Amino acid sequence: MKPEKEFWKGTYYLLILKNIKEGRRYGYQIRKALEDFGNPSESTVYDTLKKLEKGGYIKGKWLTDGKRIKKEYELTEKGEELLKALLEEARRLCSYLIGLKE
Amino acid sequence: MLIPYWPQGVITFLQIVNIIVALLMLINALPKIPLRSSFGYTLSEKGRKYFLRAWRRGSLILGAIVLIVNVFDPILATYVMMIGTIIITVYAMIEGEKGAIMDEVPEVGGVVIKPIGAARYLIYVNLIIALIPIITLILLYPYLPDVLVVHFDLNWKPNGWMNKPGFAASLIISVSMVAFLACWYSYLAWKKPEALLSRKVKDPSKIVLLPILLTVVTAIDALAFIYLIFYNLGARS
Repeated sequence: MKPEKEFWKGTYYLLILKNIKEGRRYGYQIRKALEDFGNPSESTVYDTLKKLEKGGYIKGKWLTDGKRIKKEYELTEKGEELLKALLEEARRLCSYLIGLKE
Repeated sequence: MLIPYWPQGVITFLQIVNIIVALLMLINALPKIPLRSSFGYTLSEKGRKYFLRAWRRGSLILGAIVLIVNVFDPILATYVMMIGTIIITVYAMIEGEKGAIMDEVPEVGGVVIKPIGAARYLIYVNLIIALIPIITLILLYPYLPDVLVVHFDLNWKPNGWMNKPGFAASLIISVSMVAFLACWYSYLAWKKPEALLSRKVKDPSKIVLLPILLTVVTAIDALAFIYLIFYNLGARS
């Protein structure tokens, strides 16, 4: 077990939702953006995307340009709410870590 | 042996087919075959790479298992081959999907590949079609002769026979296999339409053609067996 990796694992729901909100709509872009945050494997990002999609927090659609296929993600209303809630939790954690009282 | 009355010729034939396919898997020659009717995920660079890698791994393991099982029981080896092929195809599809999602996308936008909701009715249609000959067989089994005609020449004179348990097993295996394939492809058109695109089928509106074609195959298979049942009962009209 690597405690650093374990720490980041729990944050990927929040980080992926935030990245999609910021306009990174493809798996590759999301993974690139997460390189500085524990550098998750493709499987981790893929599994998290799948879980978020299954839970109805993001919506994926497959596109084709006649030659190749790709999957594009967008946040759903439920996803926007989850993002807000998770950001609030993250703020609470940060406040505690830097010694501010709520 | 699972079906003790199968003719020796059928067993020898299955043994030869199993050995050839298992050897092709072991030398990695077989993974090229499914790509002729490639799944949509292979239309992405990384998707293709991951799909092939999974197919190679799965084929190697399955090829080795089938070769070993074949020594003890060729018919069991056939089942292992059929079920194993389905498992490694599903595994390769999951890996291919992962690759396609994680692939670098040079351009944004494109045509949306819409799921075909009506394809779910094809699942019910195929299940019903598959059940008709199986139920007919169960109801009429006691009245069937011990040796049944199963093949005809060009003048429609019988030239192939099979014993009763062998005929029953062929009917159930054949009908359920083609119906399963048709149901699976219908499910894909309904839930994962992107998987049914290929190098030949690049237009999303044509995705439904394959499940329809497979449904027709199921119907022909079922009709052929129903015809054989009634022919052997003496009702030739």
